[in-house]
This record gives sequence, C-alpha cells and structure tokens, in this order.
Amino acid sequence: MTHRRRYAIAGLGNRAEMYVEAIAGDHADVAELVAWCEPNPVRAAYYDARCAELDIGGTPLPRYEPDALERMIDSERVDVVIVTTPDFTHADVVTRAMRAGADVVVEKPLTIDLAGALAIDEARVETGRDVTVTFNYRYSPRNTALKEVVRSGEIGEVTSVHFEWVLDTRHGADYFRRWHRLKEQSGGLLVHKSSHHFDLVSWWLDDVPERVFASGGLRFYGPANAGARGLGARQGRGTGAHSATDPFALDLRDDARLRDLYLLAEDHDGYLRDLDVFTGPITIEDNLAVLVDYERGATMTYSLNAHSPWEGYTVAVNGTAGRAELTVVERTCVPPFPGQDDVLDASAVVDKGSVSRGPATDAPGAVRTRGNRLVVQKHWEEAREVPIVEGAGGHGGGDAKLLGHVFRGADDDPLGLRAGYVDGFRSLAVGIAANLSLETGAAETVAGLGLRLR
Amino acid sequence: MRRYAVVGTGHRAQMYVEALLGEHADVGRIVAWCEPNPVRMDYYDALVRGAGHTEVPARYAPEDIERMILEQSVDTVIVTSPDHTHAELATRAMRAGADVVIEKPLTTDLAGSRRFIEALEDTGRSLVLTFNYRYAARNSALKEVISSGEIGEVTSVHFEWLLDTMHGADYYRRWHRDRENSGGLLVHNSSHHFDLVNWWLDDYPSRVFASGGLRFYGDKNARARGLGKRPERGTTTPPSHDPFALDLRDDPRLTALYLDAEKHDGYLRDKDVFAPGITIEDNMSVLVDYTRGASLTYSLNTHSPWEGYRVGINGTEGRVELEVVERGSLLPRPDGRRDLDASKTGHVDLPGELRPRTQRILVQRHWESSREIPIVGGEGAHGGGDRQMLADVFRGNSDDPLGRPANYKDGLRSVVVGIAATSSLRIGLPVRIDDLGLDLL
Repeated sequence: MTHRRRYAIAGLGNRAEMYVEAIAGDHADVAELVAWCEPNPVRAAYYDARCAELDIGGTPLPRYEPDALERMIDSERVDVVIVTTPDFTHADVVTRAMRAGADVVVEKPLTIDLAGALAIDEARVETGRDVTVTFNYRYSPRNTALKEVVRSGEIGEVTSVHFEWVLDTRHGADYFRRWHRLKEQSGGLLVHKSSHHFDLVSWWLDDVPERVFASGGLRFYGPANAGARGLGARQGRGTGAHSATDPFALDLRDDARLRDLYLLAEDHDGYLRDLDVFTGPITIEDNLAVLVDYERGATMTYSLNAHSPWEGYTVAVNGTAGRAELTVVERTCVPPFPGQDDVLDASAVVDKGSVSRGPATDAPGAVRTRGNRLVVQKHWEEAREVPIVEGAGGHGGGDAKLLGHVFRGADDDPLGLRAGYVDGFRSLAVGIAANLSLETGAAETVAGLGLRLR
Repeated sequence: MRRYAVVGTGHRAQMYVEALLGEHADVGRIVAWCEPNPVRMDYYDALVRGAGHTEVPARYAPEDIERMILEQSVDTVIVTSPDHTHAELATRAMRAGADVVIEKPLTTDLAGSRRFIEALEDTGRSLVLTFNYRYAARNSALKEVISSGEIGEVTSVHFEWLLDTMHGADYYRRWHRDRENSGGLLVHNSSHHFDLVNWWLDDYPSRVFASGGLRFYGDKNARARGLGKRPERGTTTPPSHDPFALDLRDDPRLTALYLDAEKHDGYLRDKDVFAPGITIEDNMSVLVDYTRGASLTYSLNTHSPWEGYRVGINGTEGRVELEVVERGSLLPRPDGRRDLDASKTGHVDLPGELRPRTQRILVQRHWESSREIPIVGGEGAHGGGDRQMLADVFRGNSDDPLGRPANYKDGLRSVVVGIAATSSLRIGLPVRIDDLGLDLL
C-alpha cells in the first residue's frame, strides 16, 4: 500500500463535509484523516458521527483547539491542513500551519484582506510550503466549456466581458444571517462571493486584473432598509414559531444538519446561524457593481445582487472574432416555505444546507427553466449551441474532479483548472481593490496593492 | 399650420420629412432646407415632388439660418445635422425666434450643454428631443412595470447593448468615427440608453465612471490581427466582397445622399472601418450611481455578431428583465447583401435560427414564479416607437401617462452621462454630475 498523506481539517462547519466524504471515499487510498482543529465539541461530534457512518476507522478523531494548531500538526504528524474555518481566520490558520510544517488546502477566498494575503505570501516564501485554493466553480462543466471556447481562439482576443450574478432570497439572504454579515469577518460579498467569479474571469481570459472601480450598498437587507419599507418589529433570529409565516426566517430545526451543527452547538460558543436579515448589525453590501480592466486590454462589467427572486448568472464574452454567452439558471424561483416541492437542488447535491432547497423540476409552461446554455457566435455566422457535458456527482461532476486534483495532484490539466496561490491572489486582489474603491470612491490599481499576481 | 425648416438633410431627416409629407401634412409644412450640400437637398426635393407638391422648400446655407427663419417665417426647425453642430444651430435658431425639434443627442460636450441652457433661458423657446426608444412598446411596457411598484424600489440595473458588425461598424465609416464630431458612442448612441434608464427609474445620475477603448476597429487593431492593406473606402472597382466594406452603390438612397454629393464637400460615407483616423471607442463599460441609490452597470459593444440588448432591473420586491434580439445573425440575404440597421428595417429570421428575433419581458416578484408581460404593439421601425413619437412631436401630447415626450432637461440628463463617461475614460476618475455645474432638475 502506498503512503497515505495525513490530513487534518480546521473548521468543522458545513464546508468541511465535502472533504470528509472525499477522504472517506474516492481518495481513501491516498489520504487519511487524523485530527480536527475546532473549538466547538458539538461540531466535532457531528463529524465524528459522520466519519463513523462513512466507516472511517479511528474515530473519534483527536480534537484540538485552534490555539493548539501547531501542537496538532506535530503530535499527529499532519502533512496537510484543510482550512474550512470562517474567512477572517484563514490567514492566521494558513500561516501557522505552514510554519508548523504542513501544506495547506484552503477554501476560497484565500483570506479577506490585504494584510492577510501578504502574510500568507510571506509564510509561503519563508517555508516553501504548498497552498492550494479550491475554486470549485472552475470545475463546473459549463464553466470549463466556456474556458475551452475562449482558449480555442474561436471568438478571437477578448475585448470585454459583461457578467451578472444573481443570488436569490434564500441563498443570497443566508449571507446576511451568518458571520458573513460583518465585513471584518468576510470581506463582504466582493471578497467572499465575487472572488469566485473574478477567479473565473481571470481564468477564462488567462489575464491579470489591472484596475478596479466599484459601487454598491446595502439596499435591501438590514434594519434601515426594512424600516424605510415599513416592516414592523422583527424577531432577532429565525428559529421560532414565526418562521411558519416569515419566508426570510430560517428555522434551524427544519434541517437536521443545521440543527446538529449550529443550533445544538450554540451552548458552547453562542454563535447564532439564523440571525434575522432585517436586524443589525450588517456591514456588507447586497448590491454591487464593479468595473475591472485587465492587462491585455479587456474590460469587465460585473454586478452581483443578493436578493433576486431566482438564482443564476449570465456572462457574455466579446472577442475580435465573435462572442460567447453562458446562461445559467440554478433555481427558477424560491418557494416561500419548506414544502412538498421543496427538494434538494439537483445541481449541488453535496451542498446539504437548507439554503439549496428549491424546485428541482420546472412547472409545466414555466417561462424560466433550469439549465445551462452556452452559445457561441462568430462574426457573420449564426449562433450555435455548444454542448455542456455533465459528469456524475455534485456540480455536474465538478466537485469530483476538483477533489481529485486536491488529493492526487493534476498531472494532466490542459485547461489549468487547478488553482495555486497566484490565482488566489489574483481573484482576491480584485475583491480587495473593489472594497477599497467603495471606500475611496476612486479607481484602484491592482498592482498598487503589492500582491504577487504572477 | 406650422412652418418647419429642416436643418441638415442627411438620412436622419427622412423620417421627419415623410411624416410632414404624409400623416401630419395637415398640421405642418416644410418651407425650407438648411444644408450646405445641394445634392442632398435635391434628394429631399424629389421626395416633396413625389408627394404631389409642385413647390419645393427654399434653400439656405447653415450660416444663413437666422435669415431663413425670418424670411420663411419658420415656426420650428427640425435639427438633424451632425451632432457637433447641434448646439450652435439650435441655439441660433432659438435666438432667431424658432422652436426646436432635435435628434438626440442634444449636444456632444459640456460647452454645448451650457449653450443650450442659456439660449432656452434667454428665449423661452420650446425644445423637443426625440428619444424614439422610449416609444418602443417593449420599453414603454418596462416603464409601466417599474412605475406600478411591482418590483419595489430599484436597487440596481445591469444593462448590455450590442450593435452588430453591420450597424455597429457603420459608425466607424462616417463622421461619427471622429470624437470631435460625435462625442464618441457614449454620447451619440449610449445617451439613448441612459435616457431609458433615467426614465425607467424616474431618477437622475449622480456619479459616473467609465472604461473602454478601440479594440476591434481601426488600423492599429487590424494590423495587430494581421489584416493586410485594405482599400480606404468601401465603394471600389471592382466591388469588394469584404463584409466590412460598404458599397454605396448597393443602396440608391446612399448613392443619392452621399456618393453623388461627394463632389460638393468631399465627405466620404463609406470609409474603411480599419482605416486610420478613428478616435472613438468600440467597447465601453460604464458604472452610474443614481440619486435615489441605485447603480447601473452598462456596457456597449459595437462588433457583435448579433444585435439587441438585455437589461435586468433589481428591486426591493422582485426583478424585471427585458431581452431584445433585433437581429440574430448577419448571414447575407439571398441577394448577397445585408441590411445596415436592424432596428430600423426589421430583420427576417432564417428558418431554424437559434437566436430568433424576439422581445421578452419577465417579471418575477420575491417568492413567486416568473411571468411574461405581454408587449402590445411594437411593429414598425424602432419597435413601433417612431409613429407615436412623430404624432407627439407634430401634434403634441401634454398628458402622456408614461411621460414619454422628452424635454431638454431629459436630453441634458442623458447626454451628461455620456459626456461624464467620456471624461472619466480620459482621466481615469469618477465624475460627479454635480461638479459639472449643469442644472438638471
């Protein structure tokens, strides 16, 4: 039997589950789980139980407090730390793990601000350790298909990108209930969410962002907006009898996983997963508009809305020989209350939070239908649809491929799917520069941040 | 019976001339042309004669506009001259005692804007700006959705406009290719779109940032892509088969108005889109903040394989989307030719077209399914808008519930976005509309 690398997971929220399942399943021959780094015993117990279900031996795993990360790496001979803690702790956990001798796999975003990014880069250079950022969107077959179109040269050199992402009132609203609602914890959606999208664009265009201008604000969620619209008094959290009549209230008791990971864990750390989206404090934006110039000369016009009635995105890429358009409808509408039609989202079966619920099939005669469509049209020609080949598993087989790269490396990766630290910096830099632009009201140069971009 | 003069008898004049010779002949009459080129006036004289008139309008040079207004007792001038001449000709007409109907954009720069404000204040004359896009049934339907409050207060707008390689390319052949003449497409073309947003939202712009460049047309781009030497104009012997070349002889109207008129002023209507001298952009991105709090992300591309636009408007109670395909592709017609402007002529789909000519409005409220809003009407040029607009221009419409007739303030509020965006492009900084010192309210 070949040597299995020893993994520890830092941060046992809902993001950890995909990695636990991968180590228990497809990658059990090359990876083994040896420890948790998590302050909350209830969440660790949840994952120990999950491991037992998945038949991973040696459970319960030893649990270490966050301040004992170095001791964990040493005592448990950890090769790799998978970091799925809240974003604002990434820089600390990642740099300490590297300095203690481990490689790191970190959920995007790499970190939330410039100081964190510079610290990670410094530790990386100092230790020579490996940092992988898991940009799972790249692996989604539709996004990979667009990459192939752009890379093929069929639409020529890219001159501009028009990109709109809409998050619906379930998924989008959820950022306003959790730790993400504070900018100092998440960097706002420009960092936490849009950096995903900025990564896609840098990757599609194979280019480096140069200058960023942004505008935006909190225009729907939050107490001031609710007050202005005349919403009356609100319950501070979603779990309660009122959730039966308020679609914005998330009742943690409605979902076994949310109940076990968060509601039952509250006694230990007081963290509430279900804060009311119309009760403060909320310091992040829900409408964002960004203009990004790229080094080779393209410009992107981007917008993110987090209170849409449906969820998906539309991206159009204009080139000197034609144009490509990708339209994705992930969820056509959001039923206000959990009900019979309210089944797990088929495109993200690994994402088991209640936030991904919605109708999996379209109602007969629906004017908006679920699906992906990639259309390419060259100058003077007709539009043609490019087939998107979906694989098995979550996100059209994208998750399985991503995990394969994380656990086995990417020897054969012609599209450059596997993201390294430079990709993490590139996408993060756009989010950071956009946040800065929101503050200063000026256009910000990305190079001015002093981050390594190539 | 109002007495009209037409200032600038290029192709833009035709819609007004035909309206006054036809549907609105009972309320208005053309008494003079104000135009430097006799051949172009000949073309319009022929239209007048064709409508059964024996007497044709009197002819004046632009420098004699005051004398024309006096001698011909002109009530209203219709200004369809090139954009950079708007401010001078229209304000001189007002000071000489005429009202003005003017093609958008109002003007191309700040100095022109100020000139309009002063002349309007000094003279008290009326100025009507013809924003025909407001009248397109689909755009009016979108206005109604937002006015109804169905999607709540607007928080953001995402708007993409595409001009195809026939219509879009055409700006790089004509006087528009020089920023001095047109102000660039952010002024000449986008001010139409900015007007729509101002009108849909019933709001004013407060801050503008823009980026963009000439990335497809022009000699440098062509050279970088390895295009060889090209003829300087599209009308060549033997005829070119290059789809980017416009041969004026293929269109009798272009022949009469431009090719035959060249000998008088040397103006070439068919310059090569990859020839030097282009100082405007072909890819433009603009971010606009509005006073009540919404933001607009806008982009214009002028070398698209299809023509149309998409706009998504997010509100506090839902979202509305309008998608318009004016021309889904540019395959040649059976005669081997292609129409210049899809929005004017009405494109016919090929069988099995993946992107059919279409228009669709979807409204979706929070927690509900989306539904399609029927668009009533919409046949004819510019989505059926031209006919109603002309009726309003020539017969008045003081109580339009949608507020479609646009006054000069509307013209200023839209052109100022284009002017500010152009300035932002140059300096790399956002431009605050307040800092421009124009009274927009």
